[in-house]
Amino acid sequence: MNSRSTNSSTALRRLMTEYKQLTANGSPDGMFTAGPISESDFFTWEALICGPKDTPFEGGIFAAKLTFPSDYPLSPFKMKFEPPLFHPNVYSDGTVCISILHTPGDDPTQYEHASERWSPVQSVEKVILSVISMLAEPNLESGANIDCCKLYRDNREEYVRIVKASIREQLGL
Amino acid sequence: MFVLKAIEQPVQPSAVSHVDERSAPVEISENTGLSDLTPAQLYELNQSVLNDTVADRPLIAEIVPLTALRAEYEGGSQSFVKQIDYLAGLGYKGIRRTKGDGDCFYRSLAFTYIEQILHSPDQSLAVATAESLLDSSLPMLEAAGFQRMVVEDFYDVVVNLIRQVIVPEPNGTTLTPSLLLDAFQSTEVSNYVVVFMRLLTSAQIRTDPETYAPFLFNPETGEDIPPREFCERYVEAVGKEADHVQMTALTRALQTNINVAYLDGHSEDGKVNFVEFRGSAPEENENPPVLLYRPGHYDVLEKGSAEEGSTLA
Repeated sequence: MNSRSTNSSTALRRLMTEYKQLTANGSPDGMFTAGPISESDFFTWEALICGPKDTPFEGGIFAAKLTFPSDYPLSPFKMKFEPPLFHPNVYSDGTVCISILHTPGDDPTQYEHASERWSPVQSVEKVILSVISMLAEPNLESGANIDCCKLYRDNREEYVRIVKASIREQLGL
Repeated sequence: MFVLKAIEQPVQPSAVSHVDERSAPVEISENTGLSDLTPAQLYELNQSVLNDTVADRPLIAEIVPLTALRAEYEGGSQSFVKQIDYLAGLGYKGIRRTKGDGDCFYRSLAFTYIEQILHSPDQSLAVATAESLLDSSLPMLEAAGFQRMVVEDFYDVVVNLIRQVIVPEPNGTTLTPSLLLDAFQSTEVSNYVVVFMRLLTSAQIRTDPETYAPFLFNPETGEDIPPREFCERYVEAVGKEADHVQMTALTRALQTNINVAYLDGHSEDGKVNFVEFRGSAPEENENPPVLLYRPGHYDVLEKGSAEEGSTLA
């Protein structure tokens, strides 16, 4: 028999291609940057995301850690805001809960049927763009932070206040 | 058109988890009656059995004699035994099993596709034909909306394997049946081939939506589903098994032919139905590869036996 261990060289090649493309072309409207934290580990990236305009997140810069599995892009990566972000679809530890980071068989919060899922044709860029639109429009159907969901639904003003205050704090204002 | 129901996918844990909260789980021992277990516990026990079987099995295996398959049914369904005997009567001697991971159709088909090139009397011509076909599929994949960057890694793995039939690797070896099996047993190569097959299938459907739309529906609800959504959910996603539509689309995309033998235990007289998938005009005396279907799963049916090590009739 042969070895059936997972060799991650193709994952590495794909990550390098994605990184090269992101650096060469930049992100649409310069909304984010992303790349490996260190050259010695291509499987851990940091992304910096600008808070989208006309949302409570405007003006903020949010750092997230992306952790890639050795069989990427067959399996999706994980995304975690560090520090955690106050948002209905972000767990209190910062982990992002979004359908595009889950395969169709994997349904942690019963996403809507038509929501976009992970498949090897997705990419870092596509996922982060989805996360940016998630920041602007939370999906209460698949909430991760229940308190935040409630607040968003019942007391939008307070939700906006907390988000804005956290951004000011982050900026040291 | 008839449609096969997907039953390979296990029930989602979420479907039973709410039961867990109501009835207290029972401690499981040898004496525990099945009826004492909560549905969640039964689900877990079943899953662990399935996972164990699945994990130990190679992605695709060496040929074993058909008699081994027969032995599995001897104590059970006699209609299956009859159908297996019928296949043996047609000259099928062996079965090449694939892992039941939802990718079995794509893996079986890709394996037989490359195996045919390997056994072709004119290998150079067969390789050139396949290469030019795959090359011309790139514009279709782009038209379907897949980025070149995303497609290339998967494409390269398939094309390199096919090229290796005639072009030696740096270590001097060209592809042999046993190296082909090795490649398809290595998780990475094998799964990359599967993904490329899925992308071809998807692109075929996405770029010709009028042809396929009438046959696309949600396998769970039976409702119509638009081509893009169908492809995202049931074609591109790794582990989602193929139905008639995907099989038709892939044979067309590869311009290849296969026959599928339906071993379903439903035949009164023990006969087995063969369904032909024709992606190209069949040549005279052509013997397309045969996949063996059992509810929810595809393996490869072989005329050669394990000892002969060949699949040629």
